[in-house]
Amino acid sequence: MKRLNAVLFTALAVIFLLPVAATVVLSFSVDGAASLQGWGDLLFDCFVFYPQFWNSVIYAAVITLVQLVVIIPCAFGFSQAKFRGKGALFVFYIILMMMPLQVTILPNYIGLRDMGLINTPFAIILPAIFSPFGVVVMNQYMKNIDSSVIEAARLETNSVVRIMLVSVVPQLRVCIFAVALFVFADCWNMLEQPMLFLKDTTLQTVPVFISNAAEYAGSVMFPAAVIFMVPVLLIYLFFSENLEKGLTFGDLS
Amino acid sequence: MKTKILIIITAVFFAVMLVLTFSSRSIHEAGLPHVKAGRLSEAEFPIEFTDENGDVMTGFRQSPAVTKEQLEHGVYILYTAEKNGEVRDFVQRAEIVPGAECDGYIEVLGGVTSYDKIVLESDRDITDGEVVVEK
Amino acid sequence: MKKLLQKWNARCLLCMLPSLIGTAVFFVIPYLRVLYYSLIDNQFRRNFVWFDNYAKTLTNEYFLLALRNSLLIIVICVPVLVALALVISLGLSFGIRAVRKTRFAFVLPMVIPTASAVLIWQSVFTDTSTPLPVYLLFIWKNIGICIVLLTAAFTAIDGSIFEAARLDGAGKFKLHTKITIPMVMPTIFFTVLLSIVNSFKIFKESYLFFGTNYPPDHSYTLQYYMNNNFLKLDYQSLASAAVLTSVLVFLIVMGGLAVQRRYRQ
Repeated sequence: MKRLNAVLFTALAVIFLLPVAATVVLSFSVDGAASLQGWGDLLFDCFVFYPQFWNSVIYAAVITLVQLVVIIPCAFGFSQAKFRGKGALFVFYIILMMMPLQVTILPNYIGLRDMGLINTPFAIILPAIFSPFGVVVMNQYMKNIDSSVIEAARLETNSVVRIMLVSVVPQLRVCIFAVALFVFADCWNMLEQPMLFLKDTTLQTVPVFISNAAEYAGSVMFPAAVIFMVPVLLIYLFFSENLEKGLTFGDLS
Repeated sequence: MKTKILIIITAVFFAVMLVLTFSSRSIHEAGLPHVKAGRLSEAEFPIEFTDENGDVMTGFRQSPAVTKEQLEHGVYILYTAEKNGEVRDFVQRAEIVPGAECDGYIEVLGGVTSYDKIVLESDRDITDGEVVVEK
Repeated sequence: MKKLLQKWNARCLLCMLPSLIGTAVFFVIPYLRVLYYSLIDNQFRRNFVWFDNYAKTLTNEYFLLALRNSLLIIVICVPVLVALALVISLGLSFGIRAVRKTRFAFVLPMVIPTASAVLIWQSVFTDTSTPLPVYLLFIWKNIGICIVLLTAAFTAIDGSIFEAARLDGAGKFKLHTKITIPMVMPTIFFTVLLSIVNSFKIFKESYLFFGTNYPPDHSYTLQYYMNNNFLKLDYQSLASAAVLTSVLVFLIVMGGLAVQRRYRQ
C-alpha cells in the first residue's frame, strides 16, 4: 500500500514538473527537429529582448527592496501601537489585497497620467511598492514575535529604528525572505501594468515580449520563456529551505 | 555546498546576459553583409531626331543607367523594414528593364527609380530579402 | 511614564505612515474616483445619474456572461483545487520519505512565471472550445500555496493525538477524516478563501493563453469586460462593473471571515 502511494505520488510529481521540462526541451527544437536556431534568433537577432529582460529584473528588484523598507516598519508599528480602529484597518487592508487587479489598475492609469508618470518606470514601480499583500503577510508574522525582547530593548533605547533593526528583524529573517520571494515572483509576473502604463518597447518587460513574440521572426518564444524562468527559479531554490519553515499563517482573526 | 553552487550559477547567468546585452549586436552585424549604397548614376545616350529641314541630327540625353557588371551581378534596392521590433535594412533584387547601351552603360527604363538607394558595393554576396548593414 | 508611552505610540504610528500614504494615493483615491465615475453619465458633462450605470451594467448581456464565467470558475476550480491539495498534503505530511521528497514538484509551479508556462499550454491544448486549459493552468499554479499552507497546519498538530487514536484502533482513513481534517479546518477555510481570491486574479493566464481581448464565450470573465471597456474608453461601464466586482469580492471575504469565526466557536 505504501509503495503504491509512493508510485502514485511520484507519477503525479512528474506530471506537475512536465510543463517546465517541456518548455526547456521545446526551446531546443525548431519545426520538430533539434536545433539551436531559436536560441540564436533570440540572443543574436532579437535586440528588444535585452532591455526588456533587464527591465524585468530592475523593476522587480527595486519594488521588492523598497516594499520591504515600507512594510517592515508599518507592520512593526501596527503591532506595537494602540489605537482605535486597529482591527478595522487590518480588515481594510485584507479586502484591498483580495481585490482583482482590474478594479484599481484602471483608475490608477488616470491618476498616473495626471501625475505625468505614464511611460516612465515609476508608473510600474510606485503602485507596486504599496501593494497591500506584503503589509498583510508581514503583519501576520509580526504577531509571532516575542514581545519580551522588545520590552527589554525599549529599556535601553527609545529609537524605534534601532529596536526594529536589532531585535525584530533578526527574529523574522526567515519570514522576510518568504515575503521577499512572494513579492519578487509577483512583480516578475506583471503583465497588465506594463501593457497599460508603458508605451516604449525599451521600457517593457518580458511577459509583454512573450505575448508579442508570435510576430517576431524565428521561434524565440520558448528560449525567452526559459531565460525568463531562471532568475525567479534561482531565488526560489536559494530560499526553499527557509520558505517552508516560514509559512505558518492561516488564521486571520 | 548547495548555496555555493546556486551563487555561482546566478553570477554566471547574469554575467552572460550582461555580456550578451552589450555584444550581441556587434556579433550579429559581423555576420551580415556590409554594403555601400547610393543613387543610380546617370549616363549619356545618343539620340537621333529630324529637325524642320529634314536633316538627321544627333544629340545626347541624360538617363539613369547601370553598368553591364551591375546588371550581371544583380541590382539590389536598399530599403528599411521592421524586424523583431526594430527597423533594419533589407535588400531586394530589382527587375531592371534595360534600354539602350552606350559606353558600357545600359539605360534603365524601369525597375529602379532615381529615388531608390541601390547597393553599390558589398563585402560579400547578398541575396534577395536579406538583412544588411549600411556602412 | 505615560508620556513615554504616548511618545512610543506616536512613533509607531509614524512608522505606518509611508504605507498608509502610498495605499491611499494608489488604491483608495483611485477607488473613490472609480466610484465617482460610476455615478456620472459622461466624462465631459459629468451629470450625476446615480444608479443608471449600474442598471445598464446589470442588464448588459456581456457583463452577465462575464459574471457567470467568473462565478463558474469559483464553483468548479476552487473545490477541485482544495480537495486535490488536501489529498496531496495528507500524503506529503504522513507519507514515507520518498513521498515527502516530491513536495518540490508541487510547489515549483508557484514560482514559474505565467508567461513561461502558458506557451506549453498553448502547444498542448490546441482545442479552445472549453475553458478547461485555463482551469488546469489555474490548478497547476495555485496548488503549491495550498499545499504549503496545509502541510504547515498538519505538522502543527500535536503528535500525541495520533498515538491515542492509533491505540484506539483507528484505521488510516477514519483517522484522517475524523481527526486530522477537522483539526485544520481554520487553515482549510483560509485556503478556500485564498483560492477564491486567486481565481479572480486569473486574467493573466487566460489572456496569454487566448492571446486576444475577446476570448471564446466560455472564458470571457469580469476582468476581460473591465479591460475592454477601458480600451474602449467607456469609463462608465468600466466603473460600475469595477464597483460591482469589488462588492462581490467584499461579500465573499466578509462571508468567509464570518464563517471562520463562527466555526472556531
